[in-house]
Amino acid sequence: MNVPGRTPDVIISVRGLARDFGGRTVVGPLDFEVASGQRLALLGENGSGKSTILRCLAGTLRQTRGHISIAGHPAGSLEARQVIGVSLSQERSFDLRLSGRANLVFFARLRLRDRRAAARVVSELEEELELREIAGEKVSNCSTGMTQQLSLARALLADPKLLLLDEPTRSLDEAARARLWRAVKRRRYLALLVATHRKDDVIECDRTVDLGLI
Amino acid sequence: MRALVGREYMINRSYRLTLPLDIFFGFLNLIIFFFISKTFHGGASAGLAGAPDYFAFASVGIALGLVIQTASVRIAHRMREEQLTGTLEALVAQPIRGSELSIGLAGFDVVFAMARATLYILVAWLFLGVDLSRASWLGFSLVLLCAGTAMAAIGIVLAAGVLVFKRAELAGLMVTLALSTLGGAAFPVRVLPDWLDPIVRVVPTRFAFDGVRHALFRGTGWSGDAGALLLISAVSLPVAFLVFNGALELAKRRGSLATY
Repeated sequence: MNVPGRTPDVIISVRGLARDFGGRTVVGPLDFEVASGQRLALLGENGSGKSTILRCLAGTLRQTRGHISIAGHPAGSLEARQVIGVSLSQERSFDLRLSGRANLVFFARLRLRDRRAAARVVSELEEELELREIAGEKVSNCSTGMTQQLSLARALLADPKLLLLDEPTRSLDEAARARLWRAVKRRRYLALLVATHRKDDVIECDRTVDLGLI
Repeated sequence: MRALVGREYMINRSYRLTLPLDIFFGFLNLIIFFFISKTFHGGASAGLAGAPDYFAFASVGIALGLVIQTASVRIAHRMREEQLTGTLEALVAQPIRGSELSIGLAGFDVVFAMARATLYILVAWLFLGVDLSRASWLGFSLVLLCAGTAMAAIGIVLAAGVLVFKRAELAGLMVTLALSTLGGAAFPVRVLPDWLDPIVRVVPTRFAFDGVRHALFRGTGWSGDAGALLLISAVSLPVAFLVFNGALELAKRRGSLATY
């Protein structure tokens, strides 16, 4: 939470981040910080490395060079993953055989360990994000936009300090997009890093990093 | 870990025929070996680890072989499914350890395989004439548990292979087949060539098959096998976790977690 007159906590600290693929540098070197309560938009053309940066921060991809700190912990460490909620661009990240709700409760249990607490948190998020109907559907029956809403709900499980969103509004209708931003703004302490193409998402953020210009 | 096991149960249940067919497949195996043993009825029973006849010997091979196959191959198979369905990266982004992930993915299948193994032994006893009048059910349960744990270490290493090489299931099947054969699943290890003897002496499956047969057919002599399996688990599980974490790290460096 930001306190007036006090420097907000730095949640993301990136120093000299670079990622190579096949001997070619696709990201960086890059330096930036995001503090608690701040919202940073990553802009760039397709293939500019937006998703790569988010994956490096989430800890599912290792940077080739540089250092990433998440709330004081190295990216990818158990402690760092505990404070991150992430929605990556990949459409298939849920078990298609199960309902949205069963998937969300499963991921909530991985974080909260307790089944009842997990069910309660999921129920609250369903209410907040107006997901009741979608959550009751088998994921295999969900459209891309519906899955994207489930993905946001998963990212918000267990009150993360940092939210990493990869093109979160790409397939959303206006109402769902508005719900997303309301949920983000409601969590005033939340640091947000969002990769996006949409100008109306950029204006919701405090700062931008344009990967095309770096 | 319990969350992962619970999810596996829900996924298995969602395929309505999977669980009944799994059980039926084991019954078929049991019946085939029942008739094979009738074909060669009257053969010598010496060296059958206390089993009164070949069918009794083979029924343990079928039941325990299932646990061995499940504990070793299923973790790798589940890892491959996570890659194909795209859920692996989402799982790795969660605050869970590599050891929890690997054990959790196999947990339901191993427990289910143990239940099936027990069911097959009961069927062999109650309906197919296997004499278990001297059985130590405590010994049977403990050896089964220890065998599942020891074999899970091999499964975790095979899952690490899937993380690195993607399609490594065939290697898993070959390892399981070799371990089952060298452990004495379908025939006594004394008929194997002498030069295999040093390997036969140390494979964990031999302790598993011998232990279960001693527990079921003699009621004694299983504690040494259970102890050996525990010792093997104590050494091999931490090594397996190290290998798995190493493979996970390699996949993160290569950027291959989200690819298949």
